[in-house]
Amino acid sequence: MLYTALREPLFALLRAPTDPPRPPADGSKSVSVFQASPRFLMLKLVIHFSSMALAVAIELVGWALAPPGPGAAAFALVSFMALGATLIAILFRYLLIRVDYDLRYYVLTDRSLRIRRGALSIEESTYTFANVQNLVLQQGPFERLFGLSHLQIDTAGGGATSAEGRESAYHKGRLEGIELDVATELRARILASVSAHSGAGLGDRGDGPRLPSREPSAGAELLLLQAISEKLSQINGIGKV
Amino acid sequence: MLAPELYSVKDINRPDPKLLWLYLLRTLSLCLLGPWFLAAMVPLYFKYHTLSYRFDEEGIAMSWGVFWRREVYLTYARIQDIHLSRGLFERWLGLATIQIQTASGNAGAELSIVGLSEFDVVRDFLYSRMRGAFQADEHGPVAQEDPKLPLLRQILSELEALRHSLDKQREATVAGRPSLD
Repeated sequence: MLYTALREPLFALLRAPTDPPRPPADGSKSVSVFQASPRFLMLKLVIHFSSMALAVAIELVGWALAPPGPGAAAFALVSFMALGATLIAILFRYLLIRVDYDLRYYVLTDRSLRIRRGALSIEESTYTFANVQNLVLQQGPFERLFGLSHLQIDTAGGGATSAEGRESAYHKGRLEGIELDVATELRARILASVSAHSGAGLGDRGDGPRLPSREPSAGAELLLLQAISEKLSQINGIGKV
Repeated sequence: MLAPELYSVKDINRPDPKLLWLYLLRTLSLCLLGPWFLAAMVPLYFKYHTLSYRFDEEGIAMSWGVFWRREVYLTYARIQDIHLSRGLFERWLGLATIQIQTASGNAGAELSIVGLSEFDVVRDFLYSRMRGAFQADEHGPVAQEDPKLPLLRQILSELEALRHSLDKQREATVAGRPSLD
């Protein structure tokens, strides 16, 4: 209600893209564009509102237990301001969760994955399956309750942490908040693509897909040679008869 | 923005002039914390004026700096992942930053291509050259027909013709025999 009214002006102000990201142009036959599960939004909102309700409850108890005396009025004022700040934070974070959910898109082609995420700074990351090193399927207790999971792909060089000790967000793509059965299916699909490549995923030259793709042409060559040999024996037969 | 077919990524060597505006906006937003942050504009001003790109057959070179010059070169085949990042100011100005990761251990991006208004075209260009974007059975050497095959087909058709003429000759001799006797 509040969000649906605010959505349009908010998106216009943020210059947020309302259409899904363009899939990478690689001539893929199957392209799927999808968003996180609606249950992911639900889970985030439940966590947000329950933790904020706890904060408000603590503030109200503090207000009620305020000692009577000369400082009571000042104490009430401070409590009132803290409560107001909390309410603003609740609203702000609520909007952020909704915007983040609406802007989150996953695009899967035969060869690559593209993730768009973020509200203030919008990031679109593209990975090819040929470069994938690990696949990680994660599920916390809350996610399990909602039947959700996060699928993470790692590319080479991602183990580093920055100077502040924060883990680098690069070299990994996270498909957050997708249903577990979808995640396992996606994992199987990506694994098949990964193992179709023979190299280490470090950009080695000429490490294209494994050899089966060569077979048809070798087969055609063999068939032609057989036909030639047949023709030759027929020609030999002509003289003998 | 020019149509992709008219626009050649290899011709890019300078960032868009709007990059300077982006740097100014960023500096001004820092100035909300205090006016001395205006000094942050100085290195950015020099970076803008010395920044140059070169897209060649094998890779990208990016260089900048006045006193401390820096030139980064990386090959397309080594690209691990491509991030297109657009902050609020960048979206207002129609710019974006393309961050490129290779497999080196850096926590950040190995190369940040800043201030391009044709970021979509450049990203597609980079994507099409990174490993795994296309499979060899469609675009590689395997895609073209094996050069041996046409040759073999030609041999087969020659043999076919040879057999045909031999057959004719034999028929002629068989048919002609009684009349000779």
